[in-house]
Amino acid sequence: MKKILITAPVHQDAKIFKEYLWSLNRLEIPEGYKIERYFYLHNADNLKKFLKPNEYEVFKDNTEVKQSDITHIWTQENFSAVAQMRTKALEYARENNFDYIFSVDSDVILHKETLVDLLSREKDIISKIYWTAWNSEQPWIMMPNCYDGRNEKGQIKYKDGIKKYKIIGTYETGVTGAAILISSKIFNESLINYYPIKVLLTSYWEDYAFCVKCKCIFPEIKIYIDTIHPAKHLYRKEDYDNWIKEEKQLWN
Amino acid sequence: MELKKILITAPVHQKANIFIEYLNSLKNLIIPKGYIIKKYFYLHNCSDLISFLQPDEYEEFNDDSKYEFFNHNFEINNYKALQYMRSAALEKARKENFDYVFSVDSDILLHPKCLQFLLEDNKDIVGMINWFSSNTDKNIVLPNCYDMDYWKWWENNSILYTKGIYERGIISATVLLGKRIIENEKINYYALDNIECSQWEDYALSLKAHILIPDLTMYIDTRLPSRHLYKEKDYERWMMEKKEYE
Repeated sequence: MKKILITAPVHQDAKIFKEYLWSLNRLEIPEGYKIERYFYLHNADNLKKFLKPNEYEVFKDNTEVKQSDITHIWTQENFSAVAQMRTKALEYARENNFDYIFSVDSDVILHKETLVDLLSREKDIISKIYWTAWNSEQPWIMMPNCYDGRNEKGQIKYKDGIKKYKIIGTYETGVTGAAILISSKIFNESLINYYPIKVLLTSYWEDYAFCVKCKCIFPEIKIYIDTIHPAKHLYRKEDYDNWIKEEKQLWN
Repeated sequence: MELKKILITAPVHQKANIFIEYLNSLKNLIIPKGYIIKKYFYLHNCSDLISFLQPDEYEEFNDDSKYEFFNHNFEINNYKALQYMRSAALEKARKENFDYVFSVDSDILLHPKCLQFLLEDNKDIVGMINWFSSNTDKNIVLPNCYDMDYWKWWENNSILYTKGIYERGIISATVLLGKRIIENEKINYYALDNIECSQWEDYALSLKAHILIPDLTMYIDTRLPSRHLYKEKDYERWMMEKKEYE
């Protein structure tokens, strides 16, 4: 049996976390695979009750993520904590001989066929797409959880725009995360981690640091995003409310 | 005692008068005891410089990229050519078991003791400083090193006027690369496609070295500044000053 570690750093509202676990519980697991779950509860003791004792560890520090109804405001300390937890997950998978890590952020609701989709593509790094309006005052600007790279000012760049991601397919991309399947080829290399790179200012975005390191250490690998069965991002309260009121029933 | 081997190298697309000054400066370099140097240049679309070199001191690399001389506006093909030539030098050093690569751009004039100082610094990557005026603002003078990403270049530079050695993130133009860099096959000057500024080949090398060697030591030495003949007037000024020395 091939082993998949489902993991995330978690600092989450309990009711969103319940929806998240609901989505993980109904994931289809392809034959020949088994999953284990391991979460890093970041200052979130209140979520222990939803998990079995062997499914989590608590990561405590003095940071907090400020959430407004408009967007989430992150500090350097938040980024640093997340980089640490995600790196711990890589180490955990390496030490316990997992074949894959499936890192799914705790506000992302997956379609039940997600894991089947991603495994069938046979890639070393592949994410499932979702779309987010990062700023509630501009809800018409929806962005995917991937981009091609950053320019010298650290701004996100798309070579050919984002339209193609609206068409079902598997596309090469430069940076992705949040619902990402990573093979053991990647995480068995001990230089791979989520920590910032000294000479790359915007690499405090831990997914960016990770993808840049992957490209450097494995020049031959490509990073992909899969756009069939998009996930749902419960980014703010309004998303959760809509999800409960209207969308969830369509997913059943 | 076995001599340590240093490969002095550069991609060269240069005017002959400047190249002559460059070669003179290399000839005047003091080679510390216990070391041996070999020069090897990649002549980029400039066969006219062959006459200044021995047959085993160069190879030609010809393509359709064009340089805007003394303007230093590079196109993507220029960067790709530079990435290739600098990486080829590193690979040559790896295959031929060199202990150091001393990469000196073909418009840099070194102090005779430059190499001696850099070897004594004993770092994975160490450069000798030079200053040049910005393309966009003549009043801004920039060093050949910076901390991170292009746009942090303008910060933290005043300390570099004091002689010493300082840790820096990226160094270009005059760089001594040690064995740990040469031996790591994944370190090269090629761009990573998810970082636009890694098309600057020196940035790509620094980035990769930082990722692949977590305890990397990378410094700029400011004790014997090099002379950078960056623009036409830099060359003219140098020739006038040189006359005065003579």
